[in-house]
Parts: sequence; structure tokens; C-alpha cells
Amino acid sequence: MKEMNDDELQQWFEHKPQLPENDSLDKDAKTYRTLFEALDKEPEKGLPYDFSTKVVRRIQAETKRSNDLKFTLIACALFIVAIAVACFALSVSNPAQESSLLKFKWVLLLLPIVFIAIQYFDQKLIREKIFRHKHNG
Amino acid sequence: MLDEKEVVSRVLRGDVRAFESLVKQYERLIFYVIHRLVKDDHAAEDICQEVFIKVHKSLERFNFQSRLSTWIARIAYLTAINYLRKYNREKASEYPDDIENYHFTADSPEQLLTKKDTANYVEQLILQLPEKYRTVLTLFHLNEFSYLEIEEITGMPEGTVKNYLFRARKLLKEKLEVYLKDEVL
Repeated sequence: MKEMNDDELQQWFEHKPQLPENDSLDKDAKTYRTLFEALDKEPEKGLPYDFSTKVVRRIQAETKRSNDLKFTLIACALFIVAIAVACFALSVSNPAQESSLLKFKWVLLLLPIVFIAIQYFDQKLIREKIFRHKHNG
Repeated sequence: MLDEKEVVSRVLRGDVRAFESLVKQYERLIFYVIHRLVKDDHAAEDICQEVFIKVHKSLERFNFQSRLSTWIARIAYLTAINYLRKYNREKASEYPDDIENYHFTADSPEQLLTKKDTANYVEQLILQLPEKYRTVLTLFHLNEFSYLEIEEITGMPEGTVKNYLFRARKLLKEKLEVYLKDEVL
């Protein structure tokens, strides 16, 4: 084999499907051969055997959390609509009672907002933390 | 061999078993990239999980313009880079612009022990290299990506990828030369 510089040697080893035997190589080529073998060797460390199961479990839990949150939002929206419809119906059928209901309008509006906030913090922050702790141990 | 189109369409239909097989297929690829870049065994598993969650969330945007492995490797690379930036594990200023002047740290007793095994010794040296060099070495040698695919994953031009790869290997070869000489003596 003719003398090659580092660049040529690296290109040569890159394109060699089978690394040549050491006897036919000079000192630099032998070192590159050892280096390429070491670089191609997979590290001993790896992920735990149940890694894929953990990922799937986490995705399922996140999907469930997201669905729960959507359900909560829809329920609250329906509650607000129901209150609005009730107010409107009351104002049409019995205008005298309307003002007494309007006194509680902020309480009625605040209820679903507080409920959404509790659900959000419970699911996004607390349960997520517990889940991570449980599954990543 | 995994049929990418079939698996992707099954995952998009909500088949979790299909996603589990996808994770099994690519977990080693992801782990090599994350492990080499982050250098923290405890954080590596969490980051690998984050990568697959991102893959699951954005799989509908995968348009088969590249191999699925290239697309997943890009997500892994960007996640690892974000982690390093967030926790400021490595500052760019820690590395010289001229890699030829790069010095590995002195051998600790632990490193001296690993010297008994050439592959482990090379692994220790790789972990001391700057992030970009570790990335191209890992993607090229362990993940067997082409120069063009590495360009797609990292966003570095093909010439830069080649240059980093060549310089990193030359540096490792010089260090290995000394080690092999010591071993013979």
C-alpha cells in the first residue's frame, strides 16, 4: 500500500466495507484502523429494557390529561351558556326577578373559572410531577 | 425491517403498539446522540423520553421527504442542544476555535483504568471533544448517517461536517497513537 496522508487514510477507511488486516498496513494506517473499529463500536451503556413501555405509558397519560382538560372546558362552557340562557329566560318571563339574579352574576361567572383553574393546576402541574417521579424513579 | 409508512399511519390512527415498535426501533439511535451530547446518564433517559413524546406529537407533520430516522435524529439533536443551552452545561468559549490546539484533560485514575480497553478509551476521549465534533462522530459512525443526512439533522453545511469529522478523527488518532505506543512498551 502506498504512503497516504491523514485525509486520504480517513477517506480510504470510510469507504472500505471490510477493514484490512494489520499486516498490510503502515503505522498510521494501523492506528486509523484501530480508531475506526473503536468509533464503530456501540457504547456499553443503553436505555432500560422497558424504555418503550415507559414512553407509551407516559403518552397515554398525557393524552388522558389533555382529554380530561378538554372535557372540563366543554363542561364549563355549557355551564356558562346554561346560566346565560336562564338569565335571558328569566328576563323575558319575569323581569322583576332579573335584578336579583344579576346581583350574583360575578359569582356565577367566577365558579367555572375557578373550577377550570383548579383542574388545570391539578393536571398540568401536580399529576405530571407525580407521574414523572413514579415512572422515572 | 420497519415499514415506515405503515407504522406512521398506524400511529396516526392512534395505535399505541405501533408507536411502541417505533420507539424500540429508534431508541438506540436516540440514546447514542443524547448520551454523547448531554454526557449525563441520569438526564439522558428523561431527554430520550421527551424526544419520543415530541415525535408522537409532531408525527402528523412528517412528510416522508427524508428517512424517518433522519427526522427523529434531528428532533433528538435539537432537544439535546436545547437542554445544553438551558442548563448551560457547555460554554462555547470553553473550546478553542482552532481544534488543532485542543488539549484533552490529564488522565485521571479512572481514565487510566479504561485505557485497558481501546474502545472505552476512545469513548472517554470523544466525551471530552466539543459538542459539534461529538455530534458528527456519533451520527456518522454509530448511526451511520451520510454527510447529507448529517447536514439535514444538524443544519451544518456538508463541508463543515466533513471538516469536523476529519479533524476530530485526526485528533483522536494522535492521542490513540500515544496510547498504543504506551501499551506496547
